Amino acid sequence: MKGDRNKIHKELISLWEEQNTKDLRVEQLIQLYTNAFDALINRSLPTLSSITVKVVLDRVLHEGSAEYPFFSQITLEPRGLSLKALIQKNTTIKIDELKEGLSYLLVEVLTVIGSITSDVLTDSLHKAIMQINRENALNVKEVQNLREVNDPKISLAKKRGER
Amino acid sequence: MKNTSQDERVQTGVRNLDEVLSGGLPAGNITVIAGTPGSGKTILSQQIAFRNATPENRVIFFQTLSEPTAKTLRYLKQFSFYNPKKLEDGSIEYIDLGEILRTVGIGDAIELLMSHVKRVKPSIVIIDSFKVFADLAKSNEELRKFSYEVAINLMGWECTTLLLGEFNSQDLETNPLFSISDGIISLKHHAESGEEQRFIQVIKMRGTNHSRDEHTFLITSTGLEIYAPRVTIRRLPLMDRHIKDNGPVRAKMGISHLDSLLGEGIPYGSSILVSGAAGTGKTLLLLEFIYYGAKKFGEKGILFSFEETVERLVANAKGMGWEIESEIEKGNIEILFIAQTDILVEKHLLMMKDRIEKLGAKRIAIDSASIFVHKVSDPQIVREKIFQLGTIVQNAQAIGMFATDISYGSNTISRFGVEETVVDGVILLSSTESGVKRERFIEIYKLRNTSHVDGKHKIQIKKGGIMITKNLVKKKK
Repeated sequence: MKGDRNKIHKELISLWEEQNTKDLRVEQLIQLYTNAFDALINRSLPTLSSITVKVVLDRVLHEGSAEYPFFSQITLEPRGLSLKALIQKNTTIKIDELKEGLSYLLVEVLTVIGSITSDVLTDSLHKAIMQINRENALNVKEVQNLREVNDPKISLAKKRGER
Repeated sequence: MKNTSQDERVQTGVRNLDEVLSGGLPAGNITVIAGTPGSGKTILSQQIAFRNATPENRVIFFQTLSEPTAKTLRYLKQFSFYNPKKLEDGSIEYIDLGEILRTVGIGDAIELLMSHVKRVKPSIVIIDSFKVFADLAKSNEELRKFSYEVAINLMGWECTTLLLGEFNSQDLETNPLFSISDGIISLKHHAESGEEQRFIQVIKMRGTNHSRDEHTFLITSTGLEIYAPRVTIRRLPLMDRHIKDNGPVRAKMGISHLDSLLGEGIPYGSSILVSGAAGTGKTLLLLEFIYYGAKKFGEKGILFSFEETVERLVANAKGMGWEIESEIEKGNIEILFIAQTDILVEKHLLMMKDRIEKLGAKRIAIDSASIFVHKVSDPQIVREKIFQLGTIVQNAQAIGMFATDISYGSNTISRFGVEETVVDGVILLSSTESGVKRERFIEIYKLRNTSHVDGKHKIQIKKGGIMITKNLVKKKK
């Protein structure tokens, strides 16, 4: 049954990954998936409301953490999932495993939203995913730089010219 | 992750409830089960829980402040659906939130509920009772927000949810829970036809084409048993090609000259009202119809008696020289006695349907239909019940003979004045005084689609059965 209900989502995500994930570095990969999650969330929010989207993400993360323990580092923020924590800890995560896990999360988000809405949103969510391409992710800097961007203390110090 | 899909239905395990719901509870729906204390809410939800719980599709039964869990479990053991293995292997988990809820209040209740949901990942969540949250909420607004969040959270986890509560009809309009729920099932009891009866009604169930009627039910050792003849007894389309092409197959009665009066014979699928005052020979005619059906034509027959016991009927038959016991032993004839005081019309309608189908009966006698529906005061309901009896006969492609008592000397042809409108034929039995003697008569008053002999014909009741004196006046089309 589960195989049946997430089959179309798996196929779409596989296709999207084939087109976009080749030769990406970890931080690029994470940026790509962050963009994909943001696209899904932005498309779902007006229709489903933030509380529903939050519950779906919370569920998917909770269940995903059982299969991919590194997901316990991901936090659920008001605007969506924050995958950046994975970058800082990525030394212990193999890139294939990370890719597999993030793929699982995308499929599950699509599956749960599809299931609770009788697939009313599925087509538009699929379109939203397919519009995300690797180009935006390619611009992401190396891990060290990204850490600086994400760390408010470093960013603030940089702005003040304190190195 | 558990397995659900949008078209999936949760089978309730409650007899006829899935038919009322046109296929079961839609998976993922949030359904309120509303009813007064003692109306059967907890039993209904437990029946659904035990029917569906497996290690893969687990059930959480949250007990709030309404009843201690120990008490629930103690009474649960009486029911045949109870299976202790499902508690042992964790398929069903009972969680008593009573004490904690008193401490944390409604504010932290969602987190508390969801912590268990995240741990168990259930397919079904039952909260008994949700009314407690209405009592804990400080305002209607707080209750609305709480109900909404509970609904969203359980929807997000794709849980089929049953929220039980002692809600009344006023709550349906004012309690915010009812606007966020996908379904409302109401359980109640009130007096009808002189008896206190239980009723179940599906008021709302998104995604289904459910019955909106009130249906009677009983609570037995198997749990709820719903009798919904309007849903379960429906005329089936005629599938037999031969009958479609060549017209109805007709039966012979095998009784004295009755077949001469009935022309080509009674089409299978017909219901005939056998109407007459006391002592005119109705019971005997029905018994003979069943007996000769088996004896002469090898047709299985069943007689439902609401007046005479099986022993008395067998003795009567023996007195007529009929070896009815041997036909009963061979499994060709079945006689069932249901005491008048025990009659529950909807329950026994379904029981009759089951017994007829099980036996494969081609001859069905009901002695008497007027006693069967005697507690029903509304003629429209009487008409409906007789029509349902006729439907059972038609679907079985059998012949039904329904006795009905009328007052001596009355001009009516049925007890309630409506039965004759829904049957295919009427046989009138009557008697008159002739000097010091009483003479009995039979008349084919009505027989749809069959040319039959008109007028009254003298009958005598002798050893061997009813003897009809030939008086072939004219055939009536």
